[in-house]
Amino acid sequence: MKKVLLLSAAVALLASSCVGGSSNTRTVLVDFQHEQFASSFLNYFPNRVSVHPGDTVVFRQTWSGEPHSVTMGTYADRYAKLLAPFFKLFAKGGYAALPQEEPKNIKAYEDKYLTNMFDENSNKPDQNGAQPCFLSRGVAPRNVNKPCSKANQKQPDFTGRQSYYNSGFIPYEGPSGDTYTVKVSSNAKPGTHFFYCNYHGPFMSGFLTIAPRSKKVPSQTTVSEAARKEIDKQAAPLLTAFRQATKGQFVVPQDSLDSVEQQGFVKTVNGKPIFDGWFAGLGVDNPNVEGTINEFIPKSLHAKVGQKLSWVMIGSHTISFNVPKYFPIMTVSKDGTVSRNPKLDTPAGGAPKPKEQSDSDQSPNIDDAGTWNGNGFWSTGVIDSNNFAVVSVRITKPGTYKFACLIHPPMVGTLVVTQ
Amino acid sequence: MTAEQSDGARWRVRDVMFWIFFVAYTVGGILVLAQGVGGIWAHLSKPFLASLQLKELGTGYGARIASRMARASFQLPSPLSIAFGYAFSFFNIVLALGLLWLRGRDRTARLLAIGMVGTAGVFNLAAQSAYESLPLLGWESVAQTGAAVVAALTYAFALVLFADGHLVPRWRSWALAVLYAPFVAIIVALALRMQEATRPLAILIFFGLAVPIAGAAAQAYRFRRATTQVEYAQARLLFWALVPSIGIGAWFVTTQGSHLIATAAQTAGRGIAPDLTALRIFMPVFLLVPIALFAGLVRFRLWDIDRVVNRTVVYGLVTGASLGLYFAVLVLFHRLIPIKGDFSVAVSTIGAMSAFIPLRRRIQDFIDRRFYRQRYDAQQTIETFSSRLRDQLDLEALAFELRGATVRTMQPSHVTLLLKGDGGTMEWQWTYRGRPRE
Repeated sequence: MKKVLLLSAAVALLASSCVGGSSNTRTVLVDFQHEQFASSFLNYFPNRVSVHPGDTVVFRQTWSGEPHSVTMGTYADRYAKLLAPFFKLFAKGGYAALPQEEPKNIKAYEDKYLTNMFDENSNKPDQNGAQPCFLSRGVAPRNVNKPCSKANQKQPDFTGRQSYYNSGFIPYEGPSGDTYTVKVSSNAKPGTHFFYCNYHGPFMSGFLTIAPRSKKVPSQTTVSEAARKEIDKQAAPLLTAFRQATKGQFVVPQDSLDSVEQQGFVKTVNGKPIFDGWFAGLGVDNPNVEGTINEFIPKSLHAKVGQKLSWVMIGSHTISFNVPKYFPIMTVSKDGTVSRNPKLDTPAGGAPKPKEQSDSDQSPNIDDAGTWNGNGFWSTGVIDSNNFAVVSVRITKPGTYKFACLIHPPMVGTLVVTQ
Repeated sequence: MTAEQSDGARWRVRDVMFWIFFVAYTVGGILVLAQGVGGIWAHLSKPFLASLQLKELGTGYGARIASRMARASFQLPSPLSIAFGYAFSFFNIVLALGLLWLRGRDRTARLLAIGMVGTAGVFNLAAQSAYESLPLLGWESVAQTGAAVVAALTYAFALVLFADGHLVPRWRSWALAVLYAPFVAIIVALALRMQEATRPLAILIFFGLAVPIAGAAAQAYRFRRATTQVEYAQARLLFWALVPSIGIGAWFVTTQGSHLIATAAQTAGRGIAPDLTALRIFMPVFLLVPIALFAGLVRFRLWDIDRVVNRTVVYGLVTGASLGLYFAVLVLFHRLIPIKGDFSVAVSTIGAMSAFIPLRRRIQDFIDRRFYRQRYDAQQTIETFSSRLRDQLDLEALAFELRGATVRTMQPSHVTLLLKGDGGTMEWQWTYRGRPRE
């Protein structure tokens, strides 16, 4: 009898594995940390993925310090249709090819149907966009402080018919940190759906195609190959820049040459304008690259007491000494509230408030952050610039100090100050 | 069931538990070491790196391992450091396996074996760099910390127990428990406070201070109470081997400790691989301890260690030569012949595999001739005598042959040969004084 039971169980197990195991999983990367340099890429890799109804799409985030979401739904699909001409412009020339002013119809559509993760004016997350929200119909709350109800924060399978299907901020901590899983409903309607990051905007985006079961979809290996190709295409110019910069051979681009030269960061070697200074973050002037290098270059510095230490800062960073344990730019409390850590923006240890630039100002943001006496936590706060910033500080006490950017985790350097 | 049988049963359960743990621990260590090798291989082979870079974008834990190896390939230590690290790891693992092979039931040998396998993983910079090239998952961090704690505690207790297998001082069990409990508690407490960036400092405290201090104290106690010359010499040898480690450990922790702690605090949570430079400074010092144990074991012929040494050297050289052959054939294919990829890998593998046994025979022969001359000669003599037995018909000549073989192999002071035949008993007698001569 026992043998019969065991045999039946084994047959049942075998049968279930043969019959029921037809659903597949495809992985899409959200951002990426390059193998050779600390980076952030405002892309999904690959940006097109096809699945069948019943399959699962895992959005695997790399925490580079940049918050992301995966925002979908029928409102997002219509948004993509409105943006179609701009996608073409963007593909050719990046952000520079887009109109200076956001078209009114798009702005109106965003305001009426969509949400943002973050309000740049108030420096606070919008709870209606930063928290998860899954609606079968209607729009997310228009009040930025009001998140979706708890019932609407429970993630259903994706049918392609939901009006709003937003992951909200994907936290990097916790058991499911850095992962957002979308289970495509077995009765999902075949079609192509737009997804984008509601922090970085519609140009950090991709398309999810739900193909009919009769049609074959690319395997995970093919998906990974496509992702790798896109990563390598984005990373190649950055890698060249990184190698040049770490060897002290970074050639200053022609369009920034005058402003960099005015600040005294250029030397001529073999007739080439070579950057002569320290970088805090680095990017490339390439419209097709949405990635940045989040590194201090060089990482190890030597200076004298009282010497003016200046970094050319590309991107949004902080220069901070005696930093606490890394904290993310945004955190999620137990009740689901998403908040931005105020320590990031606020200058600390007597550093002055960073200068702010208007959107049209393309001159370097020159920021003298004063002096630091070598004691306690000191930070410039987040410094933004439209082109680049020059951040300076003087240190009055000899010692060996670690300095870091509070936003980007691997961005750490060592400074030795001697008499 | 008798008391003896019951004791035997308990012993078997303990054996099984030990072996399960040891196999799991060794496999874990080898997997960590293999990730380092993967990183090195990816550094040398672009197709392999490309395949890793593709795999890392996939799903499952394999993607994570691929990502580690790909990242590690760009952050390798110097070739000298890699060679030294892997030689150190290999030496420790083979010695550990050899010890268990010969003295598998000895408590000290078991502890020493676990400690050696642990240090093989902990002190391999290439492997550790690979393992930490991605921020560790919760369980990975626990596994790594646990492995270091197990290695530190087993090594410490092995040094304390060496060579007679008894804890010192010779107190009652409860008194020993009181004495050793704080030591264990400190190690475990340190381990619990260990974070990604503080790990190197904690490892230095474990292996640079705690382990050598415990070992040196025990050996100092032993040599003060030694009753024989051998005990005295063993304890003294190990004591002096541990002293440099304590000295450098103390110097390093007092001069660099606060800086390391401050650095660790400031890089915590950033997913940055900890700076392992300090481990590089300590590696030669930590090598002294197994070498001293080794020397002590060989010199005083404990635990049949010369057999372990012989096998370690032979199999070490054979593995090295096979790997060399494998890579040489692979490189040759890549440089000279247009057929590459799997075919060259297959040919290299078959070449290395088929060369293994002849290589082992030749290397064994060479090692025996070079380092174990006496035993080698004895073996040769017996083999020659065996072949002569088939041809020699004259009894007297055979007796002389036998005498020669006995003298050469056993070096007796007196040989008597009695042969009983139909015609009565025949007797030959030879007496030697001092070194026997043929």
